Amino acid sequence: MLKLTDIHSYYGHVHALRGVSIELKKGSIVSLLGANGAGKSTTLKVISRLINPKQGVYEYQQGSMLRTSPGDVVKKGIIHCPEGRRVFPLLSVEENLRIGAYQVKDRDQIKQGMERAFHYFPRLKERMHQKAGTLSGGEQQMLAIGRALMGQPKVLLLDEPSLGIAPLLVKEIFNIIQSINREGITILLVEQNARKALEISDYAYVLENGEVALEGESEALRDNDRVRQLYLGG
Amino acid sequence: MQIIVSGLIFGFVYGLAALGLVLIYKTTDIVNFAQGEMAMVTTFMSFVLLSQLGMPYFVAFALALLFAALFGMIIYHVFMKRVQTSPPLNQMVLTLGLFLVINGIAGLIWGYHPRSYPEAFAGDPFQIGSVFITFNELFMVGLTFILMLVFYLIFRYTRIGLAMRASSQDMVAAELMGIKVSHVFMSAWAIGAVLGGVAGIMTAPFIFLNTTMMMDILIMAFAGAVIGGFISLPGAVVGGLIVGVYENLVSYYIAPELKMVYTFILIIVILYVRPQGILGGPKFVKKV
Ligand SMILES: Nc1ncnc2c1ncn2[C@@H]1O[C@H](COP(=O)(O)OP(=O)(O)OP(=O)(O)O)[C@@H](O)[C@H]1O
Ligand SMILES: [Mg+2]
Repeated sequence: MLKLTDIHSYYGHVHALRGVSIELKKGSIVSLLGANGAGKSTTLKVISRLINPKQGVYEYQQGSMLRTSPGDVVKKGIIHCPEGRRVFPLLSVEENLRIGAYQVKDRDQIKQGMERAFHYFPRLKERMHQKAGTLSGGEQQMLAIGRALMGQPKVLLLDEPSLGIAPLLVKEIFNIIQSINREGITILLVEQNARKALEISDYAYVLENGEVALEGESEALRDNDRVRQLYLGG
Repeated sequence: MQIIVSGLIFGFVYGLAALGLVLIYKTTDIVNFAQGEMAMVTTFMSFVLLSQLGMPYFVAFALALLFAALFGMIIYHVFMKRVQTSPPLNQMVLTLGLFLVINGIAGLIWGYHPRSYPEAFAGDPFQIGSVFITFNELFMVGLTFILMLVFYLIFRYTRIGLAMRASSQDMVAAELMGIKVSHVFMSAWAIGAVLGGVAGIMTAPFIFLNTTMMMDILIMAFAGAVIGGFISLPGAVVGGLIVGVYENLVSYYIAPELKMVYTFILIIVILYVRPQGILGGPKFVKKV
C-alpha cells in the first residue's frame, strides 16, 4: 500500500539515506530498526513529506507522492507521530487532541476519535484540561499517539514510542499498538527496543548508515545471528 | 481623574499596537520593528481614500484595513518567509531595514509636511462626572475594545486560532497535523498589520499625519509589550494601558518633553523587578 524505492536524501552535505527501499503491506506492522543515526527518523520524514528526497520513488495506493504537501499526506491518512513526542506544551490535552483532527471536518468523526483516544488511554480523559507540558513523559507519549489517532490514520508512523518510558508502560504501549493494528491500521514502527518490536511486527527492516542492511519476516530476523549480536544483546 | 482617563484612552491604542507586535512575535518568533511604519502607510492610504478620493470615513477606514491585511501578507510572503528559520539577529536586521525603507519610500511619495487628519466623529467634549470626553474618544475606546475582544475569541475558540497557537509552539509538529504553517504565519502578519493600522488611524487626528508619526507610538507599544511580557496577549493590552496612563501623568506633573525618558525608566524598573514582564512566563523551548 505504501512503497519507497531507492530513496536518497541529504541534509546539506550529509548523505542520510543512501537508496532505501521499503514496503508496507496493508494491515501489517513493519519495524524499522537500526542504531542511532542510521536514518530511521529521516525515512519517516520522507514519508510524511517533511523532507524532499533527492532521488527515488515514493508511492502510496498506486500514486506518486513526491509532489504531495505534508497537509495532503495527512488528508490521505498517513499520520506521523514524531520522535520525542512533541505535544504542544501550552495547549490542554483536549486541544492537543483537537488539533490532531485538524484535517477532519466531520464533527461526529472528531467526537468518535476523541472517544477512541480515551478508550485506549483513559488517563488522558482524567487530564483533559491539563496543559500538555505538565504531563509526565509517559502521559505525553500517550497523548502523542492519541493525537495521531485523531487524524483518522490508515497508515501510522510511530517514531520510538517507547523512548524514556518505564518498562510497565512500554508493555502497555506495545499492546495498544497491536490493538490499533487490529482495527486495520497499517503501522510502521521505528524502535530502539528491537526485541519488543520484532515480537509484535510482521516484517522488519534494519538500517545501517542510511541503507537497508537486512530485511525479512520478523520471526526470521529474531533468529538471525547478526541481529542477535548487534540489536538483541547476544 | 481626567489625566487618568485620557491616559487610558491612549493606552487602548498602545495596547492595540502592542497586541499586533506580540501576536507576530508569539506566533512567528520575529520582532517586527517595521510594525509602526506599516501602520503609518496604512494611515496614509486611508488619508488618500478619505481626502483625495473623497470617500466616506468608514468606507475609507475599511478599505485601508483591507490594504493593511494585504500589506502584512506581502511583507511576510516576500521577506519574512525566507528568514523564518534564520538566526534572530538576521530577522531583526531585516525588519529594521524594512522600517527604514518603508519610511523612505513613504517620504518620497507623500512628502514630509504634516497634514491634519480628521476624526471619526466631530463634536465638543461632554461631561461624565468630573471627566470630559469626546464622542470620538468613546468611539476609539469602543472600537479598540471590540477588536481586542473579537481577537481574543478568535485566538481562543476557533480552529484557526488553535492552529495559530499550535504553530507558535512547534512548527514541525503543527505541519505534521496537516496545518499549513506558512498560511498561519501569513494570517498572523495580516492581523498584526490590521491592529497596527487601526492604532495609526486612531492616533493620526491627535498628532498630525506625517511619515514619522508612528515612531513614538511604536516605542510606546514596545514599552507596553515588554511590560506585559512580550509573549502574553492580555499582557500587551495591560502594558499598553499602563504606559498610556503613565505617559499622561508624566506629561502633566513633570514635563511633556520627558515622557519618552520616563517611559524607558518605567521599562527598566519593571524589568528589574520582574525580568519576565508582568504577565510573561518563561518562554517554552522551541524545537526545530
Ligand atoms: N536536521 C538535520 N541536519 C543535519 N543532519 C541531520 C539532521 N537530522 C538528521 N541528520 C543526520 O542524518 C543522519 C540520520 O539521522 P536520523 O535522525 O534519521 O537517525 P535515526 O536513525 O532516527 O537515529 P536515532 O535513533 O538517534 O533517532 C544522522 O547522521 C544525523 O546526524
Ligand atoms: Mg530518530
